[in-house]
Amino acid sequence: MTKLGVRLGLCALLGAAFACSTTKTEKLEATYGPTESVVEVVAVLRRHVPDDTYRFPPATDFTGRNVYRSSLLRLETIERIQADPLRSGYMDPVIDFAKARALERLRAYDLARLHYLRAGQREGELHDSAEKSAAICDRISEAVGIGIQLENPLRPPTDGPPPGTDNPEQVVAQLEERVALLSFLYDELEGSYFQAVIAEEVERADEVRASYFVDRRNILPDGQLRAVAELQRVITRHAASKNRLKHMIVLANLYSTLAREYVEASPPESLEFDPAEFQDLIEPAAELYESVAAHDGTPEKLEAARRLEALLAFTLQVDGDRFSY
Amino acid sequence: MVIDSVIRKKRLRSGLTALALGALLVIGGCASRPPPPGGDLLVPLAAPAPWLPEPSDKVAARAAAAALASDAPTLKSAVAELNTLSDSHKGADLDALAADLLHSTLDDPEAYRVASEKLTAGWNTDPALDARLQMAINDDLLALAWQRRRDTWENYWARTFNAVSQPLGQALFNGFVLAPLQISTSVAHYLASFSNDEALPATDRQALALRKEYLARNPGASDAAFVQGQVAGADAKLAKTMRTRRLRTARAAEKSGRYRVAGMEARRALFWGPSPEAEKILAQSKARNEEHHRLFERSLEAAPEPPGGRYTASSRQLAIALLRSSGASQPLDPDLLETLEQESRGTGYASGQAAYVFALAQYEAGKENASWKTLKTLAGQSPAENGMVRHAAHLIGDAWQHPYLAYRDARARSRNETLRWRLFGQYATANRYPNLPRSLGLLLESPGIATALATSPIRLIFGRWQPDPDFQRASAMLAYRYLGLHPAGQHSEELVAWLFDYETSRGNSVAALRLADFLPAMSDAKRAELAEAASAQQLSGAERIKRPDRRIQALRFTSMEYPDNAAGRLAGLRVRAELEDASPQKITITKDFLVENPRVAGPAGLGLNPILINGEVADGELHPTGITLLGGLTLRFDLIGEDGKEKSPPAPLYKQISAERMAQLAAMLDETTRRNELIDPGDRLVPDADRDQFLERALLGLADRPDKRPTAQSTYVYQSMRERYGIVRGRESILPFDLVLQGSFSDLNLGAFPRWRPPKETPDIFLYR
Repeated sequence: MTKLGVRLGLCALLGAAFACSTTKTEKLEATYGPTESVVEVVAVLRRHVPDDTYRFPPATDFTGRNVYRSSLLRLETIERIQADPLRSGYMDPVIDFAKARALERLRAYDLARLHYLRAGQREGELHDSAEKSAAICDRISEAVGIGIQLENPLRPPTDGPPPGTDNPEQVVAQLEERVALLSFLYDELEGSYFQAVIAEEVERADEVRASYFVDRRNILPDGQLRAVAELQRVITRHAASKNRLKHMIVLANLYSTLAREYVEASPPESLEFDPAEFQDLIEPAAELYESVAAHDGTPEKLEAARRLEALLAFTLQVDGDRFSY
Repeated sequence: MVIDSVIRKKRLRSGLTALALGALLVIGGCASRPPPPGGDLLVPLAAPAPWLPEPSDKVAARAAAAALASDAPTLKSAVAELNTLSDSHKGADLDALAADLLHSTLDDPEAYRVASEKLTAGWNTDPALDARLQMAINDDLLALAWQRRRDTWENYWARTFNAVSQPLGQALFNGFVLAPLQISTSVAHYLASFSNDEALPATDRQALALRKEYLARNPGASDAAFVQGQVAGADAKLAKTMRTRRLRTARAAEKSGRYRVAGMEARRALFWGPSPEAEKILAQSKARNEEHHRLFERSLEAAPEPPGGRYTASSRQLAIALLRSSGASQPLDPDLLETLEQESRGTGYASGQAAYVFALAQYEAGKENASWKTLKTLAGQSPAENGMVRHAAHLIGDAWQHPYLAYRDARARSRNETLRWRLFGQYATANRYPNLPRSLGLLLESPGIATALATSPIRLIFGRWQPDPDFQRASAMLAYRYLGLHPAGQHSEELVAWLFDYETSRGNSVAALRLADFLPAMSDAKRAELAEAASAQQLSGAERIKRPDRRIQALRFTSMEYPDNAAGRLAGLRVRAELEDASPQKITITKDFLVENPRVAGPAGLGLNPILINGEVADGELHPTGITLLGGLTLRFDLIGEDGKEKSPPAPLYKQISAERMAQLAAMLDETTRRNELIDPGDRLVPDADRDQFLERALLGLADRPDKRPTAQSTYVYQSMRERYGIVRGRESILPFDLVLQGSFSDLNLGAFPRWRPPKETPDIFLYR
């Protein structure tokens, strides 16, 4: 009787453990289950439409993906999988409008405009909003197209540099025109979530401008100084941005690169080496890294801390009588 | 009589005159006013004496030229000749220097070390030369490697010795009543401490690097094969050490569910050689990642339309209403909201959607708490029945979406951590034996934990003045995040108040003052007090800045930010003082340094008038701060002021000196300090690139063009040994152990015992960890 009891108890325990494991797996499978309807996607997307993505990182969904990207992908899957029930097209304006809302957060303004236009083709409740949003996307797209863009280093080389990039004044003038157009639009759209989108584009324009001068710092007159000034300008103008720590790291990286280039050109043991000049490069880099590394709860903290460590290790190669930090 | 009277009168007159003169002298002697130094600060530079080389000079020059030209026969003959010469120019060390010159031409470093060792034998070598030769003798790679190995063994010995001596010393005080317990605990800890050891400790890694360098420099050495064997053995241990480290990290990552990190660390472990455990972790990590990826992909799929259809007129209307309201976050129609609220009370797919949208409407209407309550109810349902459950659960668990809940959780965690720390002290945060099984580690620590728990009331009383670890940082970060996301949120006031207390408690008055502006009720007096503390904090931060331009900038900001506060006004005055006293350099030579190093002060150095450092205030005396090199050819002489007190502020006198005198001072300063450093390791010259650069320029006669860049300024202070170490300089004991008298409030232990000192780590040890 006792043996039987023990066996039964063991069996019960095993059964409970198996049941727990199965329940956990089932819950996980259910959580990561397929999307059920358009409304589910629209509801999730709608919650994050008003988000200020200029100041705060874009929201994520339950899988940890960017919510705008995952919403777009889910809507496209629904269109494919539920083609039959959606064939009549009564949900088309909803899907197009929602996709446009997602696309404009992914910097695909042209595509967003097209989807808005498609959503507005049919008379209905979304017609006015769609046309208005399409016009805004059109203006953003037009503004963003002005001036140079960030260069993709992996793109196959073209015949030559894009036209006008040899002239810094022209590049700056074009980017200023871009920012001016965006700023007009920003003021017009007081109270709209589009302000965050436009602020992101203004920030990007400033980044493009700084990047242009950083890339050409060895070619342009006073190029090093200009590159540093442009990166400082980005930090100052976008102190409220979610990317402010990244901007600080970029500037610190430039100082660090300059310090390394300086040591290569004027080795510490040579007579050309000037401790004060070297210190002028190391100090701001270290201070910027230190400042970023003090921010809790951000991945930039780790990057800055490790880069600071690397920078200090680099300075160990310089004799104590040539540099003391 | 008349004559007598005249004589008496004359005597009286002369007596009075003498008295008056005497009184004048006394008054003069006691006068605290220094005589105006005028041009007497410096003695004129002596004209160079005529100098003709003597035979020893000529032979020494010939020897040096031969050494540079690698002409060994000439060098040998010159050195031999030098030994036979004796004239007035030949210094006592010229023979030793010449011998060293000869040795320096030896190709074999070992031969040079042997020769140098012979040269240092005896008593008559100059200490500086002796020290320089000793450095060369010590620069033996294999000997250094052996020393590092010896350090490893000494570390083991020190641990063993202390494991026995400490419990015995403590047992002495309790009459050996607790001796068995104390000794057994100590032995257990001693054995457990080996779990923290690595196969190749840092000192052995130093030895390995030194041996590798030896092989690279001497590939054909007779002992190369033997050293190669040592290197191979140590390399194997190094691989084991690194593999164990990576595996430990991989294990920890796997345990905490970070499979990608676990896989990466397992790969790093495999870099150091085969490891079945690393392979297993890597395989598990891959499987987990694939599973995760599968789930990710699945989450992007769409379920086919169920029988009966999902899309109804109301669902279309709901989607349109949601999208229409998204432009400027317009509120949803009240009728729709009512319907949603009713639907949300049910179960199933439609009610889930209704609840989610209703919570969204509540959220946008500013009803945060109600919204989160709705979402919490939804999240409590089964995700299998309702697709919206996962979205609700995600919103609740995401610290960016619901920072208030994250803040509350962090506060609860920090409260627990604080309580654990109060009860268990160091045992709450540190695990001495992370490589042992947790239960074994706890068993070993249990006597300590029990004592810490029993003595926690004592720590509460006496540990009040010790700074607590900051357990609230995560809570503060989340509170600030909430305020950034919801400046006018339902919990803003609560969080501002908490943050105010937090910042005040950690002495960050600047942040507290910023928060105080958002607190409704604060008296003017309290705010004024806070502003005062904030300005003082800012001022002290500004004063810590080394670069003068940045310091002035920070001081100016403080004075502008807090114009009505004492620290703000002080900052303004500091700005003024900084600008008035601005100078390219601020290299100070204290009076004591000049007294201790008369060569620097003397005619071969600065040429300071000796009366300024003779201790007599009456004839003018330097203030203890001494002389400051201000850049260019300007010197500031700080003299004792009119009150004759050293503690009073000095009376500065500025003087331009000639480039020749500056070059002479720079040369003597550099020579003296470097010689002192060689003779006495305690008299170390702290590295200062800007100081060295200034002295180099002064030596070249370029000091008349001051370098005005802020980063070129040096504030180095040449101090005497007495100023550095006090009257009695602490010497290192010749005993290999310290005698420790121990009394601890935390565990109520008393004891007296010798503690073996572990060997000193070399300054570059951090490169081997």
